[in-house]
Amino acid sequence: MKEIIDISIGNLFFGALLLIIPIIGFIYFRVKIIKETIIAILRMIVQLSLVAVYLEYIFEWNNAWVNIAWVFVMILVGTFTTIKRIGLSYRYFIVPFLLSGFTSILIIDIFFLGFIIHLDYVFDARYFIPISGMVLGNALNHNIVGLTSYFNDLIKEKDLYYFLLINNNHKKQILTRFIGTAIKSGLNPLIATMSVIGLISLPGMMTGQILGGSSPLIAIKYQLLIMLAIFVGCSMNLMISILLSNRFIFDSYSRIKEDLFQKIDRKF
Amino acid sequence: MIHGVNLSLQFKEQCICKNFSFDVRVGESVCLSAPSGKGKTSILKMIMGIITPKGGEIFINDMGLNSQNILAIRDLFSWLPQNVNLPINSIDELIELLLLDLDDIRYFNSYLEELEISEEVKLHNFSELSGGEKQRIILAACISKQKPILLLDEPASSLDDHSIDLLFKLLNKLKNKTILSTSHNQKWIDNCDRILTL
Repeated sequence: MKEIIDISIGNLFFGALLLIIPIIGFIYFRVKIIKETIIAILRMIVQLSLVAVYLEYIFEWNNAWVNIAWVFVMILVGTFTTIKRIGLSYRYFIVPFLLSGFTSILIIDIFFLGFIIHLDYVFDARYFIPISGMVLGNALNHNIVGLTSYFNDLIKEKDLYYFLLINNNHKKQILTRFIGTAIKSGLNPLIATMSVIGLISLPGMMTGQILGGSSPLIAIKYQLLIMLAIFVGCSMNLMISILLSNRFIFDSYSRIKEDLFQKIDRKF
Repeated sequence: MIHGVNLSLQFKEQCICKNFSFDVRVGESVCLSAPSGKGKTSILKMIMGIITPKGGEIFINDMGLNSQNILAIRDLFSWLPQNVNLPINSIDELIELLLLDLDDIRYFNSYLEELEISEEVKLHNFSELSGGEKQRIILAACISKQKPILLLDEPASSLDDHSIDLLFKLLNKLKNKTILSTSHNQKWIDNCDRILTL
């Protein structure tokens, strides 16, 4: 195996000079996103630097409780971000989204780390944290798209919902239509990504592993596994989030509590 | 069969109705009459438990309308909404969404025939149909479930006189149906047994 070439901090900053090209483009086309871009890059640098420091310690320590706590924090941040991005009320949605995050991560980690990779120690920081992070990071985006589609459709098509509620009186069956559309909206981008992976895109994790010294074959096997884990995790997370949310978004007459969706982000 | 006692409803500052009481007996066809925007649709929605009155009570078949009885009560209703521009693609999808079984579909097809909906129209995409065609198709689908109470919100709004005649001919054939409708259409109002003024 070849030795890994480290990147010096100076070289990293030198690499950042390439940002001049898009910034000149933004100025030329009068696109007002320079400030947001610089803030996002600075945030990324600070966040990743902190993560690097934390992970150095966490990897060295490799204590199950600390690793679980780390994943718990990731789930918590993901839950808060989802609620905020969609524009929902923390009071009603924190429990369903937290539970869906936990359930999907629990199943994914036990199955993939325990039964597929056969780790003796399932909470090994080297596997447990990055795989959970990959699943949660992707689930966040797909959950936001799927849940926004679900809540938006319920409001937009409430005439259809009530028409069916009165005329067929089977709420669960009526909701399958709305849930189906939401799942499609949430997962379609992921399905599209999987279908072209390797052809027009080389995934970051695989690239990172190869750069880190792994053989391409091992990197691809891990990439396949992680894509499956992401897809299963995202699907479970979205479906459980919707099913648990349904307990809070209807009243005892099965009416939609529209006041919960007043601040919903309709951009999606 | 439908009994409303001292119903009051208010939207923000606007009073929709105050102490409104009414009775609709089994087998009657009653039309709710009031100027536009005066709460006819809201009365129907209160009866179905879609909106809650500020005061008063509703009884259906002597059952008080509340969250415990709502499933049993809604099982008695077929509802033709005022807005028939529903986001569905085809008649097949409507059949699927309304969970029509084989018997219901047989009724549905015979009602469509009586309302002069041709085989060709049935094949069209739902969004391409006229308001009157949509109204007749949705009504036929709703009543094919043979529920005892029909709540019809502006059933004549997109129908010409001939279609109204066809619809009444069909409704008169249905035995023991209690019909509560809302309408501005004089021909429709004249054909009902009784008028309730809001």
